[in-house]
Amino acid sequence: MEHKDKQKQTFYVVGKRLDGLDEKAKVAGSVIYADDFTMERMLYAKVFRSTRASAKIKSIDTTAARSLPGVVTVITAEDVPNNRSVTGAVGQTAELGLVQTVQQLVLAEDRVRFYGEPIALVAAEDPDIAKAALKLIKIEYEDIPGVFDPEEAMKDDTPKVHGDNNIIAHWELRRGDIDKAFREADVIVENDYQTQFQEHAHLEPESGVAWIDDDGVLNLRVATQVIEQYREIAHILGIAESKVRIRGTLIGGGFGGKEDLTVEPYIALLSWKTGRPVKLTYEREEMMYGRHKRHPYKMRYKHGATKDGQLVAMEATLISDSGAYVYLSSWVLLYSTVHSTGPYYIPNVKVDSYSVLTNNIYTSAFRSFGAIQVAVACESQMDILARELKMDPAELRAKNYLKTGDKTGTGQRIDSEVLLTETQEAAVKALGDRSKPSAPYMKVGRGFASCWQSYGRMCYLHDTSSAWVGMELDGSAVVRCGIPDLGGGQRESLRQIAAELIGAPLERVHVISTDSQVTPLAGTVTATRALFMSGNAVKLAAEAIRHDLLQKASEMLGENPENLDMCDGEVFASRNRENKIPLAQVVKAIKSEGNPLEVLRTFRAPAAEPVTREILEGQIFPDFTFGSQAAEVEVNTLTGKVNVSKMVGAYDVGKAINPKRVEGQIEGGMAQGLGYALLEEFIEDKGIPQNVNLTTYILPTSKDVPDIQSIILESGSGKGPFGAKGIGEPAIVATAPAILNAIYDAVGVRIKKIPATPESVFYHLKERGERT
Amino acid sequence: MDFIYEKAGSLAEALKLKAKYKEKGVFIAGGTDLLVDMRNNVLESEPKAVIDISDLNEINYIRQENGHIRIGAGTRISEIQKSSIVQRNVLLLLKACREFANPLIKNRASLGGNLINASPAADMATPLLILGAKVVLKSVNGERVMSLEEFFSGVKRTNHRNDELLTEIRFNEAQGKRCEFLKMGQRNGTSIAIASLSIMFDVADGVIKDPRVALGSVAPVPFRAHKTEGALNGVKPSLGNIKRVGNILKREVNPITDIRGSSEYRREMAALLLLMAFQNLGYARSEL
Amino acid sequence: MAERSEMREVKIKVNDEWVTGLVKSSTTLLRFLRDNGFTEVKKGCDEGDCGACTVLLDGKAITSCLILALQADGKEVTTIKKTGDQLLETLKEAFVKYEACQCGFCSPGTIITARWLLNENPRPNREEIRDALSGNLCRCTGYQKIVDAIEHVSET
Repeated sequence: MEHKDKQKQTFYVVGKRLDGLDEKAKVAGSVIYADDFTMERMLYAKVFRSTRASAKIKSIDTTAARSLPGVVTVITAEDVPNNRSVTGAVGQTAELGLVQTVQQLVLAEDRVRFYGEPIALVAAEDPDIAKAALKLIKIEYEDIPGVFDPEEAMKDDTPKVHGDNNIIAHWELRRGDIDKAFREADVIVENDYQTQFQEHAHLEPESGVAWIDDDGVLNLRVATQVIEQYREIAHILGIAESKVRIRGTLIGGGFGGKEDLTVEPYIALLSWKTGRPVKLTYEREEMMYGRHKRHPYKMRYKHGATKDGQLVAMEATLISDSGAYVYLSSWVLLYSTVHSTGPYYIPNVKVDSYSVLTNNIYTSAFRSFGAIQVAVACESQMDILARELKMDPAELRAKNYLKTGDKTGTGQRIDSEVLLTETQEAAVKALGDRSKPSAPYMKVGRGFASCWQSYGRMCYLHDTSSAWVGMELDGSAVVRCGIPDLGGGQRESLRQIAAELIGAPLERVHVISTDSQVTPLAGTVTATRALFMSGNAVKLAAEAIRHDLLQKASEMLGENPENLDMCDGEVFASRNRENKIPLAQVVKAIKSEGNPLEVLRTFRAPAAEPVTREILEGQIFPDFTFGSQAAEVEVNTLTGKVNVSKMVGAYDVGKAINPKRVEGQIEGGMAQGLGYALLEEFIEDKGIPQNVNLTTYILPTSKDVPDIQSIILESGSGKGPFGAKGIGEPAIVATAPAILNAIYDAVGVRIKKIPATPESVFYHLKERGERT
Repeated sequence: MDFIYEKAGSLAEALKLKAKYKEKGVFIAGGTDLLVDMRNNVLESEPKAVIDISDLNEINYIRQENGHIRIGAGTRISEIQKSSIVQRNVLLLLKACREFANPLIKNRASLGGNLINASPAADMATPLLILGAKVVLKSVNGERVMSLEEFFSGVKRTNHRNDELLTEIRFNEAQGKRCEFLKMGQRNGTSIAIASLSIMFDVADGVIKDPRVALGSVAPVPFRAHKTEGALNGVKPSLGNIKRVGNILKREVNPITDIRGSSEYRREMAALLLLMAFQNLGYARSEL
Repeated sequence: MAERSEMREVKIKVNDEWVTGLVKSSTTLLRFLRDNGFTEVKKGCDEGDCGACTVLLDGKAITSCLILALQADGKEVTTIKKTGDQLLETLKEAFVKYEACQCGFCSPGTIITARWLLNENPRPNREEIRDALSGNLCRCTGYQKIVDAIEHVSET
């Protein structure tokens, strides 16, 4: 089956539900994940972590640990060549402008600032010995007052986590005359919202092995979303960047959890010191209390509208908990600020956002990177406003959706198509008939939410992505591209794009990826940028090859290049398939004339100047993905338990390179969103973790997620390959508010703090006096 | 954790080994509680030996004789769920099996293990309490039989001696009665109960007869709510009555606040699960 | 410190191959499998919460992290790499075709659970499939396509 496209006449590979080679290897059990890899003489590492949230380290004695038979070395901060060199750059090199990069510490020095903070490292001959050694490390703490609430932490007279100010980021949106607009508004709706710490809970623990190869290069084979972290490792060790090589593995889930440095500094230090390979794999509890979470947000939102539903004003204050270290908090806050208006045109906007240090677990990247929290507030506001106005929530939104050509709250012009109304209609329609309650104490409700999420990194980072494509004599091909694969099929997309353009069968295109010294650097697999950036890079390289192939084939077939097409290892005349020639023959002819048919290309994202003011203005992101989700819930009015019975997600992805992978992203994102809305919360009490395993941190199981319908729209207007947009993060954004709106529809209570646990819903119902 | 592993080839051998190690020897059957506890260092003391009884056929059976049902303590929950004896005669137990963890756990977890672990949330406990179950404890010195109600003595504590093995759970058949098992968890999938309830009763001449109510997760042990049973006995199963009895039940429970829920919520849930059970069975839907 | 127990020999049949090794009494089956090269069996949590380590033990799907290696002595373990099992192969093909495998970390466990399910119940409905899978966590797919894949196999 073939599809037509604006750019190409027909598609043979792109757009098809093809089976991926990586998936085949995964189900065969033959993929070697990070922890599956072993080397001879390999040591096993463990991390000694703080059990206080805020304390001075009075003394630390590692003698007993060192003396344990089988322990090879123990490292503390003083053994780290550059303990304070890690920046918040995460794979970028451009000026970071106002974004603060308070230095992170590889290992705690004289003070610990969160429970779980790494203090020392142990390497031993086997993991049980390393674990036993941790117990032998003697440490004396002296508690110092900590602060655990971000609003508290903003005050002058509270303990300071670093330096003299806990507020580490502040952004603003300013447009129009907000006071006048509210004065003139017919209806005003103001509410407070709150979201929680969420844990990535990827199935694969953070893991990696480091060793020094026979060229003296430090190699790290590690599950990471950012192979550019080799630079940070080099700085930590005080060695040349060219002496560190990161080989990324196929990752068992990341969602932003493997974006900052995880095991890399530790295995690097231990391997460098011992001269032996070192493996470190985190335990599940360690992942829960020692690794970053999604930022909790407190949000105050105020909307003003005319009586016929025109949004005229929006004012918001956002406060995020940065935890004990900055990491990516400034950037996450920036995303929240930009996305805080929701996908609506609002002429008067005033937003002030703050990210604040506390002695809670540090917070950083997690799928959607700040857009999901504001969507909870914004999409709840829209429903509340609709009810105030006695308007259909769908109609209210449709009236205010951004359109192509509109300017966002930062004044960025939307230049791709906006199919919000179409996604909203598709999602709501697909819910079908309203289900009947399954018992007298059950009530059924429906809700939806619309969302937007940027794809591609912030323009001021001057993002680039490179790829190399080379043809083999027999018509097969190799693609080299640094992009890591999180499990979303990033690598398979590149394979499909290359195969399409160079006419080779999918199985004959080999993609070698994620090696910082072998594959051209393609940037991070974050920010929904993988397809956009690395897909475009591969497309550029493959198009250059295609050009040469078609030129030579036109000589050999006696046809103009515009009349030729390629697929399945053959080049042929579009109007007469019998006039054809094997691809291999064309390749041989080209190579024999001295053209190696190997191309390296770099794709450059739209760039902008660094942010120098707190007021965010101009083009912040390359573009946005728009979508809507709808949910049907059944609320048990006795217990407060919410069961989601139907879910639909509809997104304009521009162009689906492989529709089943796009669906997979939508469905997976929605399941995570369901967990965010109803089940998941990492809880700390004065900085002490309360739930540190998957029995007490509640993830959605197959019995908690209903059948999900995913609907793909393709406007072809994206900036990615073939008009694609991105879907990885957008998929999670609208779920929670859709469910919250459905709960309101069912039982008339407005939950403004998530997760909406049964106990929370129960007490809301009790307050409202609702009973069957 | 380092201990001596002993495999018991027979019941007699298991009892000898237990007599040898006493409280320093711990039985392992399914291991689904024990291994987790060992990993998290929550056992009272490190065992010197672990005695493997997971393959003992002698405690793996489901029998029906003369109106009694006897289940070997080593029988897996998955086997209980599949058993036609259980499906035909003990709907209440079947319902509990359905809500029990997940199939992977059920393929290993044993009935005896769930009871010995004696979590206040033990899923299999409340149905068996309703059924008036008795437990059989064997040692090299002989055998004791006690009621399950007596067996639970405190939070994760049972009344067995340090040389005893729980070998069997027995109870009378209970066909034809109205019964319901409800488990309120934090999610639909594998959950430790926030509150759970088992109930069994007859309705004759429009009133409740022989009501039995047991609750989990709302007291230090799974327990029979005798006061509530007394209040239900002989009354019409109307909405008003069940709500009224619910208030009695609220005073009979003794819940705590933990990571899964507050004590106030659990207290409310006890009464509401009671109402839900009646409504599920077609009662208590109106004032009439 | 507690006295160390000796290492004991254990012999387990893994996918038609008898594997012998020395283990501590506390060594889990999961650890034994991974240490002996069966790294297709994944460690996700090591305490029975996630299902990534699911294997068949004498035909029953169980979490190998909750069994001592010594308890599996003389028994048969099946992992996703078992050859010659047509139903297993069909399930793997379906997982690829239906995109039930994204990051793939839960797949070795999930496919084994599916294999066990279809043996117990050759024609499960979607609710029964979801119930059977409830011990296998997946963070990537939202379970949708996993259920689709298993349903497809059960219908053919």
